[in-house]
Parts: sequence; C-alpha cells; structure tokens
Amino acid sequence: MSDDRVSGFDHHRAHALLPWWINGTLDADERSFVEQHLHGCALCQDESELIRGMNEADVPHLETRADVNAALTRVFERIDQEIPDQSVSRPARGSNVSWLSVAAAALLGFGALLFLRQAPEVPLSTGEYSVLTSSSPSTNALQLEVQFNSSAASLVGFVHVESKFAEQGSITAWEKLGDMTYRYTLSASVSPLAVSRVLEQLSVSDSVSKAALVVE
Amino acid sequence: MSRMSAAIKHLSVDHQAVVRLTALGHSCSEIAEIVGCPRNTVKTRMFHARLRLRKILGLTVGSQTKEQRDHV
Repeated sequence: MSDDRVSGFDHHRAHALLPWWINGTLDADERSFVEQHLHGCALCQDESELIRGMNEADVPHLETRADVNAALTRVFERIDQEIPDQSVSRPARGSNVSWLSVAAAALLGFGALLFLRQAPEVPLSTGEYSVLTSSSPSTNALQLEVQFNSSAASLVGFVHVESKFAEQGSITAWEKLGDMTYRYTLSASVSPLAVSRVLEQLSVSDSVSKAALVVE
Repeated sequence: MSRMSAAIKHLSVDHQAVVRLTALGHSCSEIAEIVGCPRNTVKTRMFHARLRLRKILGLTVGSQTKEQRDHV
C-alpha cells in the first residue's frame, strides 16, 4: 500500500472520528490518532470548526419543536393535493387494487393496535374497526402515549413521533407525563389508521418500551 | 436563532438525532445503541449531516473563513 493510500485512509478515519474527539468521548488510542493527524491536516482543522459550531448551535430543546400551526398547514396542503387525485375516476382494476391496499394496511394497523394498546384504553370493537377502514376523519380527538426506554431515547423518539405526524397528521398538544413518557393529543382529522401506522413503526424501535392509543 | 441552528433543523430526523446526541456528549457507540444501528452507520450519518450542513450554509470544504465561522 502506498503512502498516499495510507495517509488517505488515515484522513478518512480521523475525519469520521472528529465529532467524538471534540465531544471528548474517544478512547485514548483514537484520541491520540486524531490529534496526531489534526496537527498536519488543514481540512480536518477546518472541519473541526464546523463541528464545534454544530455543537454550540442554539437549537431549541426538542420538546419545543412541535410547531402545530406549521404541521396543520402542511396537513391541509396535503389534503388539498390528495383529495382531487382520489376523486379522478380510475380504471376499475386500479380502484380494486387501491381498495385492497387500504384494507391490507388497515388490517396491519389493526394488528399493531392489538399488540400495542393498553387494554382499558383502546376498546377494540367492530365500530372502531369500521373507523379504521373509513376514509372520513374521526370526530374524537385521539391521544397517543409513548414511553421511551431512556431519556436519550426519548430525545430521539420525540423527533420521530413529531416527524411521523408531520407527515400523516398533526399534534395539537403534548404533555410530559414523566421523564420518559409523553402524551400527544392529535388533531381530530388524524384517522386511527394513521396513528396505528405510527404505532407500528414505533413498535419496531428499540427506543420505545410502550406505546398506546387512547380514545376519549 | 443562528444560521447553524436553523440549518440543523433542516436535516433529516436520522441525521438530526446523531448531530444532537453528539452535541449532548454521547459517544459513537452510545448513539449506535440509542438509535439502534451499527457504529459505522452513525459515522456515515454524521458524515452526510456535515456535508448537508455545509451545503445549506454555503460552505465548501476547507474554505471556511474565520468570518464565516463566526457568523455561523
């Protein structure tokens, strides 16, 4: 292996480790390696400045990031965009396929609800199942309770929940029930099916220990 | 809010998570455990987050002046 390739490899390795050299979490060997490389690498020195700027950025705490008005605006825009598309007549076969897809998704979501719900909070009745398959929004506000595994996980999880509902609906309010437990109140326009999809996604995350849909 | 703060909010959720957890002082291995992915994936996400931030902020690699850094 040539010296250039060796130094190139060293550069990439040091470059990748820089964020954790800066936050002081590298082990002694890695720290020594990065410091040795930094001494003669202007690119990594420049990158270090960028990373310090990232670390010092005054990003509001994640708990304050839920911009309900912005989320609602996005939802309404999407509804406006999607409703005309759905009203356009489609070939019969396409309609059947679409209906089957919705039914399959509803069944999947229903399964996730069964798996994740807290029994007294989500009475799964025939009537509720019909809501899952309906395209009309629910008239009742939904609440989603999520318990994360750790404070750090809740940090990441909160972003995920917020992001999912920015895509699929809206959080109108949220409440911190404990260090790692949050309750999100969802807009009445959010269908239980959309919530069940998010629950399904959360259920495969190691960060979440419990998630439940509460229908009031 | 600084330009950097605004730029970070434009990153994807996965990238934001890695950036924010690093800023909070977590090691690469801890972040890998928290977000449930391999350590190398954490490094890759951080790499792409930095590239994306440079693009958003209009910074090219190695061209960051002190004035730009101070402004960011």
